[in-house]
Amino acid sequence: MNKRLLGTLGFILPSIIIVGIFVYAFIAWTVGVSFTNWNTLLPDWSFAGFHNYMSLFSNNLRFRMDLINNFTFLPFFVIGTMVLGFFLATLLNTGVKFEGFFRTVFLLPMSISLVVSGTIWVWLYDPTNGAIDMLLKAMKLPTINWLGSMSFALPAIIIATIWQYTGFTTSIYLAGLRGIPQEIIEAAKLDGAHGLRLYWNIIIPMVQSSTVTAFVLMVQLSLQMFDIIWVMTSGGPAFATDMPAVYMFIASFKQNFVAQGAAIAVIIFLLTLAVVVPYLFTAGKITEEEL
Amino acid sequence: MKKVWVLVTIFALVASFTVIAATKFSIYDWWTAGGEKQAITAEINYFHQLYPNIVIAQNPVAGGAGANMHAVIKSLIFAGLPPTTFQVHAGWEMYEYTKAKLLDPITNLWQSEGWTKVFPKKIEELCSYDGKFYAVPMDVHRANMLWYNISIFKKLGLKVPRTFEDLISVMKKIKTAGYIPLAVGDRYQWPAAMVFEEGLLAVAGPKTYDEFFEGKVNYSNPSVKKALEDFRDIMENYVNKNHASLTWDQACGLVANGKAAMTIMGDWANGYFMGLGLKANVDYGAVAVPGSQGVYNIVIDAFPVPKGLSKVQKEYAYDWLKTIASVKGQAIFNKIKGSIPARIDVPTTGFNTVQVNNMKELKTDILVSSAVHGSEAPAPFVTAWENALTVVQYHPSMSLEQAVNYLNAVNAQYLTPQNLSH
Repeated sequence: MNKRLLGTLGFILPSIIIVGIFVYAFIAWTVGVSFTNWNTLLPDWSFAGFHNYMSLFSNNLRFRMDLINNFTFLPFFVIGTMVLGFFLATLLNTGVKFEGFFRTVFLLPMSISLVVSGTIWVWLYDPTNGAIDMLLKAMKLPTINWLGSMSFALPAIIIATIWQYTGFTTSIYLAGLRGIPQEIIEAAKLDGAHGLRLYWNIIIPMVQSSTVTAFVLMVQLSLQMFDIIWVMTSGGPAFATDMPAVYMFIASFKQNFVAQGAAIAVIIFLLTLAVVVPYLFTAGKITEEEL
Repeated sequence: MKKVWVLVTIFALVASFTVIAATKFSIYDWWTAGGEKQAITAEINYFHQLYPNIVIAQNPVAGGAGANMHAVIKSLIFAGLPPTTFQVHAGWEMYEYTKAKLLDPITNLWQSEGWTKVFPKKIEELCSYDGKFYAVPMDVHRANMLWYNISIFKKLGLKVPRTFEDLISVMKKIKTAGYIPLAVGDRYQWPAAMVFEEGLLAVAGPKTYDEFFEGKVNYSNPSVKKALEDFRDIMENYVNKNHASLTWDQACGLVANGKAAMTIMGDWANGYFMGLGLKANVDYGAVAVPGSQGVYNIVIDAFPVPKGLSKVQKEYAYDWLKTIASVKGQAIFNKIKGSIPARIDVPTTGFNTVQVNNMKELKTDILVSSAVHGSEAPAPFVTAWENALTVVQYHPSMSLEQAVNYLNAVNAQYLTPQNLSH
């Protein structure tokens, strides 16, 4: 065996082992637990087949609500962060004054812990003395009991999470926009492409890889949404903002339904895979084409 | 060579940490809010005074009324690194651990210290399992309490209600006068569940209350149904609009600053009001939830000894239990916490009027235990039940019959003889 290969292996092996144990072995462990009867405090390894999955999909009001909420949340969150992110990145890319300052402003929310921003949003949404409420009052508009109403709690959380993550998509798009060679834009302009046409035919296709990256990350984030919901509503009122990840936590740690919690985790994992696997293929294709 | 020394230092550091961890007294609790934090600090200082040689590591885990801390404890015990002792609610929350054989019995300690003579029978029951003692109570909280703002009551010329029906008619008057009748902060569902639980106790009485959580009676029982109807009425018409975004202490804050007239909360609210510098019977008043006079709905914070402790650690745990069970230990903690001593022989000096009254009533009242706080019913049921209550609370279009059927199904699913055996 040649020395170089050995050296390479020596560097990669530790991380392979660590990732193997702490990521893949635990995924396998969770999948294993989801097929047992461990719905007590102490482990019970007896085989339960698909019982934990069946009990989630049949006659479980909470899990049904969770899926509905999650798939209502997902398109709004993903499209919201991506459109806003692209818009802000475009503005930043026009050579605006104090660009660095604005970039920091947009990126700042992302660096705040979700627990902190969740708490801030709870104050903003307060129906008796919150800032949003005062604003609505000042504009002579009817006030809304955001987090306390079945119909407004989920939109309230969507707004808060879009605020939190738009900076992230902005930075992805900004990198994409900066990567477009200036000559192409110049050439397109010479050919008479201006305004929206320039964006539609040249710029948007050129940042396709950013779009794919942002899309996958945002979908994956929205399937695993936990912290901000836990802080703002803990799934309430009456499951209006409950999501699978919240239910997973409650089932595993509060109710001691460890196997059922594992089953929920596996379902979240499969849903995420359904998005990430196609991404891996397209991502490979894009780089090949670009090469 | 240098590298070798770095490695040796790291190794020595790790080794010494492990040694220290094994000889430390490590205690877990969830007391992090105003009032309760000062109380546990005072108790730990007292323990340190008595045993200055013991190194204390206090590990508070905030949130979820202990749910977050129990998640930590379970993983520590499974990993073979049990803490020296931890906070647990006596009753079902503790049974979970004893059922799984994770605690060491301490019957010998109870006998040698003569504790069987100083704690009420019901409290002894909740601290024991299968004929053995497993925990020592540090305090007794009372869940069925109504707190009210005295100046609002005076201003509106209101009398403190005596029955649950009176309570609702008083709420009507307060609402007309422009105040919030009942402050609730149910961002984490349990405070709303307490409104139902204490209402149930007041409307249906202690016997039906116990039968309800034993799965013998359900919402079809006329008095339970009435309690449910009242609960929905109160939550829809008489609570603060922002109840879903507040926590229990913020709801108490509404009473303290004169925005709300009343709140239903356990007597940890007493600790909260005292912490704000308010005076019992001057600024705020407290009575048993109207209709539940003569019944004491107890919540007990207790400390057990986990299995698998080293000999030294077990000694430390015993020292701690002796400290918190002593007359002085119980007095120090409870004066600040707002609760009362679990021992019935602690002198009343230094306690506020609410506490003195409760100390008297603990000796004479019928004792029941709180389901919301994990004593009366198993945890899987409590979570499902609290959630089910929010469903009927937020669907006013659901008829009473529909609500009864829905809630009965939840009870039937969780309160099975198998789940209730212990």
